Amino acid sequence: MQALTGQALTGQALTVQLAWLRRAAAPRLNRSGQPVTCFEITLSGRIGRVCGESAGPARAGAKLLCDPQRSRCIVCSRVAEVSVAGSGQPQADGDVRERAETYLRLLAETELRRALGSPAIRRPGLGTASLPLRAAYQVLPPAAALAARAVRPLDPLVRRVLATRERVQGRALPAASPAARWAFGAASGLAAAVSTSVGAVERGGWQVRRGVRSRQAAGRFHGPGPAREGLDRVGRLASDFAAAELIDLAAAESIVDGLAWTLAARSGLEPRGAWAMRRKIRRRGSLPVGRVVAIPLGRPVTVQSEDGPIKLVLLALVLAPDRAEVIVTGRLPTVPDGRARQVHHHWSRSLRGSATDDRGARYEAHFTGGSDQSRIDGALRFHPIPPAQTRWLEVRVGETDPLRVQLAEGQPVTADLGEEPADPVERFLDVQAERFLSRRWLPGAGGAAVAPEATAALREIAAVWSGSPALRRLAALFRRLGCDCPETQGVPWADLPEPWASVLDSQDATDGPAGISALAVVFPEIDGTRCVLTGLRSEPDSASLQLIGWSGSALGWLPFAGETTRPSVWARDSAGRWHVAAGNGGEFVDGHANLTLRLTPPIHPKATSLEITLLGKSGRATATVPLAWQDMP
Amino acid sequence: MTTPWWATFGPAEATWRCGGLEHRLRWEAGRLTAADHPEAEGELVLGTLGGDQPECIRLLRAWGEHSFDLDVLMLGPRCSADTLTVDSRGAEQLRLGPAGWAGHALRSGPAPGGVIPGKPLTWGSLWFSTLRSFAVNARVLPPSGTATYGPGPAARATQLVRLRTTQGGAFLAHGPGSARAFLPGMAQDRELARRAELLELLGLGPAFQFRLCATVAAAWSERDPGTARPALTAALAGRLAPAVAAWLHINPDNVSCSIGAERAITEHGGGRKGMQAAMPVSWLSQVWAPGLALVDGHLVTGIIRAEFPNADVLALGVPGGEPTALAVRCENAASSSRGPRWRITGQ
Repeated sequence: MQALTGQALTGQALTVQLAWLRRAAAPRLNRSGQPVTCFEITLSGRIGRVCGESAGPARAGAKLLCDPQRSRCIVCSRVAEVSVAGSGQPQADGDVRERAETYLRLLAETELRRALGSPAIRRPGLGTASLPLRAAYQVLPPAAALAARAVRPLDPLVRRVLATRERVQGRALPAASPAARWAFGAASGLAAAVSTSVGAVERGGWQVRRGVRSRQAAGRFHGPGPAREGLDRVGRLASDFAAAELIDLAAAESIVDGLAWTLAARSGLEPRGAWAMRRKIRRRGSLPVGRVVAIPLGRPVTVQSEDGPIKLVLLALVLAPDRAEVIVTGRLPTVPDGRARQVHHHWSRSLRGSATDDRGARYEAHFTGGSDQSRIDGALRFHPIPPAQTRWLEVRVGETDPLRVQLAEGQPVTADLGEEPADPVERFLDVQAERFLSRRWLPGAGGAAVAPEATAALREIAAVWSGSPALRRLAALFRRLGCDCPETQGVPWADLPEPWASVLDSQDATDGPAGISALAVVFPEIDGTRCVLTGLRSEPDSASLQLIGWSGSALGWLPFAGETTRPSVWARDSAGRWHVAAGNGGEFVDGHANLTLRLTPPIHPKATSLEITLLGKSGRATATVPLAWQDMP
Repeated sequence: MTTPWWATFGPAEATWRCGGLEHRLRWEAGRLTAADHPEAEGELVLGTLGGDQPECIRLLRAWGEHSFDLDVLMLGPRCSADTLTVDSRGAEQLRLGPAGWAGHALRSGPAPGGVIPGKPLTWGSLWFSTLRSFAVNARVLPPSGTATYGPGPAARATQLVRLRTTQGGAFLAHGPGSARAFLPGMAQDRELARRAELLELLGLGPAFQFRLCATVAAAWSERDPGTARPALTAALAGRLAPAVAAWLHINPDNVSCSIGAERAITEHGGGRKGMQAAMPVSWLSQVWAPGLALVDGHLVTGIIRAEFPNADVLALGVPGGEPTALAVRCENAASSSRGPRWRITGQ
């Protein structure tokens, strides 16, 4: 207990937000029947548990959080509950897809029933029960009354769906930190749509209607809470199934939207509000058609603002047919006397730029991006967009001397594409492992990075079998981390892939150099997305990559926002240390993304170059860039 | 002779505002008719050819078009206590849309910093965001002859409308009261109008909701479900599980359902809790929709013979038992706003 406490307090993940830690009131038993100590923790006001069952090599900060609502220890108690199916080879694709859709639809029915509220279960009154039924209830135990009948085999899928849903629902904890909130907020376009849709329904008058007539309670909403949770569960799983290509995106959206409408149709229409809302067009993202050029800059500049000087580094210039940006990172001036910083626009108004091209045309730029109390990450976005044949641009930011950027010489670093299509389900499971690897250091993320519902569901519908290489890798990862997860119960361990093992081996490293390295790598299309990496920021315990991207998905940003569908980003420095990337803030607008990716562990101090790999279902692309550190602003 | 699926239904009637008057829509023997439009078939054809289409006739056409629509089973009631609060007037407004209603793109996706903004979405946005789903849910029936559900001649006229819509890429209409006009390429608007029509039909009231569900289930029960099997399985499970749960006084979550011809309710094997139930899709149209699922503590599994308000049914007294034949009778009036109440009258 002491060791766990100490590790928890010193673990990076919990240092910032661990407010208090105490032993849980009720003792728990592990699957061997031995008592297990759990600790309740508060993360930004949310209560969860950290299990002390395993004393494996993993730190306490990496333990899965328990279900806070039911105070049920996920790691410990789920083991005994989950029965694992799918021990044989996956069946034909068509069957799997049908089972996946059936699973989702049955889940939607269950969630609908939950939102509506089932009538109370009570024993039958003598006056309403049939005579044989009364006899069965009063004379014989129910099992005995049924035992005379042979059990007929039914579809094992539908038999298990409800039980699985019961086991896994509600276990994915929303993350507590801004970064993790961002990750969760962006995790599923479907779930996001669902959430906002339900929000609309809330505003549409559920609360007014709810409870008006108690006699209708059995068939009416029990409030937006269960509906929202149910929709989110269905949306999450639908998004995951779509990522694993077990269901079409349109069909997945159909099921989620169908559930949303079915719920809404029971709360009353609000035609006035409906028409007050102008039609929202879900704009489809599109990949850039034409040349994409990214030129590294590495120019420090200072911009005066009302609060004082803003120190920036211009990382790279990106010119594409639909966007032209200078990616920047920097630091805001110190606010005197510890006061809170003024609103965003107070300083962002000062962040403007301009450019002139070789033909004399002038372009204006404004800042778009985000900041915390001191740090800025974003871009200066030019308008209009310079034409593709532009030979050079002279960029001016603030009062500094203009910087001439040569564009005619072409792209300095382009990634090599290796087309090695991966099995979508296998890739999906690998992504789960990668998310777990990359998120466990994010404050508050904990076990929320992994998708227990999806993994359990994949096994239930026999989309994956116990001999699956990806599942075995996932099992090996959990074993290495000391997480005894039921989703991988009975799965033989595989060897950990070298990158995963390297990341784990270096997880405690804090030897990263402090500095910024401008880089500019244009990646080819992978999984319907295009990416440009524009800068690396290194700190002792981690590093950050700046990424801008495009998505060609019919669902807007789903592939990018959905952490399970966008390409993974891995890097290996020249000293042999591997790094895994996780989203850590950014923006998504109309099919465009500006993201910050957090690399863990930190860059090796002796590294002189970085090999960056984008890994997706359709293949992988790799580029190597030199590291030239300059001071951070 | 096979008992038709609608033999356990009594007639139902609703009023609808049509041409400034309250008109009656009547459902009987599996068909919806416009009682105040003696020349309904002619008006329907006229409307198909571009003429004005009275509201009643438009609803007849919509009923026929949605006779195979799986969205009906998705949106429709699960049990008699499941009250839809669809307002027909609101649905009509949604269908017609406001004048000058123009689309524009809104900023989508999470705001900087990743927090999804609490956009003030309303029914309109929810509506629009789901348009794609209807194209998926509205699967066409596998080719297996001509369906004859709904108002017979009206259904044929509906096919004409559908053909025009499909071939021309436009659903042209002229003048007030006619079907909504669309320009080529406005497929999403068509889907929106289709969903609005469905909500209008459901807005006719519970009696019509159950009858429309029965119509759709009957249409699909005679065919190989094909790619619609998942949707039909869910539709069955959403209705059978509550019925079994109410019968056995257990939690519906402990009842797993599947499509099957065996009509069996058995306990899970292997030490698992709960029950498993298998029924054909026709159970929805013949048993569940007319309110026959539970009669005096018996779970009805099938119909032997029926002529409303009397029926001979097969019913289970206990799980796993052999079904026994029962004579039942619907006691309340056909037009009652409450659901039908059946009683055992003999064995």
